[in-house]
Amino acid sequence: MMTWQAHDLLWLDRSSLIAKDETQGLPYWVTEGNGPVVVRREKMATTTLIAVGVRGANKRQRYAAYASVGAVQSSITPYDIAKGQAWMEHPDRFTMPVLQALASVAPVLDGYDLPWGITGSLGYELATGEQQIHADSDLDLVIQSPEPLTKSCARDIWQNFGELPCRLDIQIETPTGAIALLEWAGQSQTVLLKSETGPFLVRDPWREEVSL
Amino acid sequence: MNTFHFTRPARNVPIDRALVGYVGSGDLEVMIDNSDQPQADIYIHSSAEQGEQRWLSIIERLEVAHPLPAMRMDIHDFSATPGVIRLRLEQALEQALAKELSYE
Repeated sequence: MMTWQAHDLLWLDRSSLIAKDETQGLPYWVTEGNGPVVVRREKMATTTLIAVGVRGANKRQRYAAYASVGAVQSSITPYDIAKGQAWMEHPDRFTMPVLQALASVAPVLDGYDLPWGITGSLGYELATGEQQIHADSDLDLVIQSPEPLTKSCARDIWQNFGELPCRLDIQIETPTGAIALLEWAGQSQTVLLKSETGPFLVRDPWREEVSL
Repeated sequence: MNTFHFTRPARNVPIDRALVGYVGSGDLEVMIDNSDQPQADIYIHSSAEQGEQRWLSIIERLEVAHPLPAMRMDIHDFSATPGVIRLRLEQALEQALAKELSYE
């Protein structure tokens, strides 16, 4: 059976979505809009539903819902989006800071043996062709690291990026959830792990154990 | 971007500077610094829509479990959830009060 991970984009009939707050129906912009929904990190009691988020025209339009597995028509992962290399052909690649940043970051990440993907507004735009990015967009990426990534390796990766024209947010996916690469590279004893059951401060994000 | 300032009663205990958190969507950065004032001065910059009352109740709830030291605290919030905010504030206080906690 197909399983999905946080950040995957799913195409489906939006009218089949189930509102997270069952007392209210789906907002009009959810059902009237089109485009894929984004898989959210939430522990599901059933394997037939997927937690998803819907992106609207602006930041205020974000909506949490559930999709039925059977409703999914097609899907793409952030890693597929990166492998597609569509940003190299993007008409704004020489002017948009987020695309310029990606052009410097991509070869660095390719130098490590870690799958990486594109999430956020840029990932969505590259997957759909729908305009999402603007001059102030951040570059949101994800790195898949099933095996522990040392703090010194995290620092090494970050230093290799050098100066970038926009803010860079890289999340590391571990078997227990996701952490920010920059925080893992820092001095703090504990880091914030976004897990399926909520956020926790942990010492070792590759182990289930919660430190606080 | 909203800015709020709260002045709260505080304990006079030595603190270390602390910096925790992350400048990224759904997260926040918390800085704690020494202050020559006898109170806790908390400055909040937030991109979230929610206002002053929400932050006041977050701080009031925090104080129940963690009496605040005299300090200056700066918070840069990027629309974090209440759960994440709580974890980050506790993480920052723990770092700032590391010496005190180790004597207990």
